[in-house]
Amino acid sequence: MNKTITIDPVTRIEGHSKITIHLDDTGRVDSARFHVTQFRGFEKLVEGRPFHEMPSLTARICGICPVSHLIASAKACDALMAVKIPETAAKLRQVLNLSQILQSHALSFFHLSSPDLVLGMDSDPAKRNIFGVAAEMPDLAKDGIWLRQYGQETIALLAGKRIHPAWVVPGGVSAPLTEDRRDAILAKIPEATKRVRRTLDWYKEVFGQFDAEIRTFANFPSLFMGLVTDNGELEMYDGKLRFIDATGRIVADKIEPEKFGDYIEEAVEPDSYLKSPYYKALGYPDGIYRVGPLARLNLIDRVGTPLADEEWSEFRMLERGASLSSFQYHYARLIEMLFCVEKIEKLLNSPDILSDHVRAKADPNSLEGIGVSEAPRGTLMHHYKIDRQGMMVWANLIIATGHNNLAMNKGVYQVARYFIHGEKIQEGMLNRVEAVIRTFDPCLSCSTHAFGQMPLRVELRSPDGELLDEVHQG
Amino acid sequence: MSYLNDQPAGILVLGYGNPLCTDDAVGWHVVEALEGRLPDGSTATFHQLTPEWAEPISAARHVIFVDAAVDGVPGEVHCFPIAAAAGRPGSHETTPDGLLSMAGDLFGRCPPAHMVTIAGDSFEISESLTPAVAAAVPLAVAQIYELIEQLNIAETPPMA
Repeated sequence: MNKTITIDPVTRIEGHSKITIHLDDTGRVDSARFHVTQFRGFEKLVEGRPFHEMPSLTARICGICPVSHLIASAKACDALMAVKIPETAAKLRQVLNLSQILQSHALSFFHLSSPDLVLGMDSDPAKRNIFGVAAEMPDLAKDGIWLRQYGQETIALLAGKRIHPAWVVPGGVSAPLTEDRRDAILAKIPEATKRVRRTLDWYKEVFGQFDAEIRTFANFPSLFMGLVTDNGELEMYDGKLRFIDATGRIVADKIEPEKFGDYIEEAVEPDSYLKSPYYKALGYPDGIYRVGPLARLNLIDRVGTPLADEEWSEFRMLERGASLSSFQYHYARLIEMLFCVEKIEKLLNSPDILSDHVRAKADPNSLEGIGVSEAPRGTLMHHYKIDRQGMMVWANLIIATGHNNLAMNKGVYQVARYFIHGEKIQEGMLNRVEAVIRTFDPCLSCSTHAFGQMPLRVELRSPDGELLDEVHQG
Repeated sequence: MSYLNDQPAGILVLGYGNPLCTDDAVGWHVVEALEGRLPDGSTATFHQLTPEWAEPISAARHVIFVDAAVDGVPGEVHCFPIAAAAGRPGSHETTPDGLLSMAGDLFGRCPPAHMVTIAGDSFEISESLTPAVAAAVPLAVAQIYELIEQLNIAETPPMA
């Protein structure tokens, strides 16, 4: 008789979800599914609203990633207005986006995932949290807190507040940067650099202890997608889309972001509110691809900042082609944090960064606009259509977590097959099934455009649907 | 208040909750009513308690947390001392006693603290407080001001 395990809710991620694992007659894992159980429907909610409200409206999708939505939405609005925004405004948006990536990566690595790395996958779950990390490695915990503070404070210094800032507007930003604020951000760069490098050094010492997890945490061939600059460097704000395969070979390159629909389609599964985008040419579900830090570092030719480039060279030694284990999202996240700090410094030292020409104004000149940028978790796409009065008639948002949906499902299956045996869920097994999801750092509020908190449930079911075991968390 | 402000506060009053969820915003209303009556940098409002507050808390002479309570008669105000305790963190939030604990463990100082709660009536989506809770805001403000006067700490530098 077949059996099913349910993990509900999944913990230490952003959002509500559950995992269902089906066992065959011999007690081996037969299939596994990651279900996102929250719904918001933001794409319908915005219909009928003036297009210029979209950055503020879509920023409300998530309290963790509001800046990412502001950026992609404002870029879609720029396209509706058919304007080229001032250079300074583009640089300021970049600094804001990099600060968001920095603080979000710090949250993911230090607050959510470091408990597994510091205390161990099988450690006491009551202590496997940021408090446990603070007790075991206080300096690491302090670095995490400091780095997240720094990212958030930079957002506040640029945009007025840390959460839901209204500074990014169609056509640019609403106010220029002042000298004192620029200097306040720059003054902390050396400290930020030191703390990220120290964490990277620590991570490189310990990740070898997780050999079984590296081998089984969503470690399979897939495509990878992300933005790159014209010369193949890491790009978080603009650039062109690139796809590579598992060997590192470029499959599609120099794709204008507004042409993404020629390459990506979205499938819907009945058991999840999270859509499943796939690479069109390979069809569904074979067109599986990954986005986010691991994908970005796999597909670039170089990072483009000196310290991050040194680290990236070492990272690329992990495998001959692309790094396939999603466990190394952690590694990639840390390198990207270093890149963010270096790039913020470079942008803020631009001669024109304090210019007061930061906004282009225009009425809508196009009835359709697309904005694409890199969010912490991967490529974010906002696609809008408006009527002649500038009112929204249609919106489609493709979020990083959605791009990763097929890979997360495959990863859950892989790790469950390796670690789950029998009809009872042991704590270490449960945590590893959750931890593979955590490597992707999914944001389920964003990906379903949903409202609320995000815990998880795991169910273990027999082939005839009988519930054998169930675990709730969060 | 700046997270990265190196100037430690004497008193630190933190109001938190979701300002879009009716009475969950009462902590914001109370703290905003206190602004201007306390030294600059003594107050802050935000959505959730996160570990990043451990450092500013460790630098304060005394901390007052202001939050809505789910239980109780709507508008009921309670003020009571709280102590550090191992928190149960969610994905990106923690608890007042957990933050106090973290302030002590990580930053070497756990200040004395009080919790002020105002029982809410509704936590549905709205930007306005319910009448009973709105009426309780001045009461909570008065209690906090009285507490600060009793402690005589508003202008007092923090302990070394």
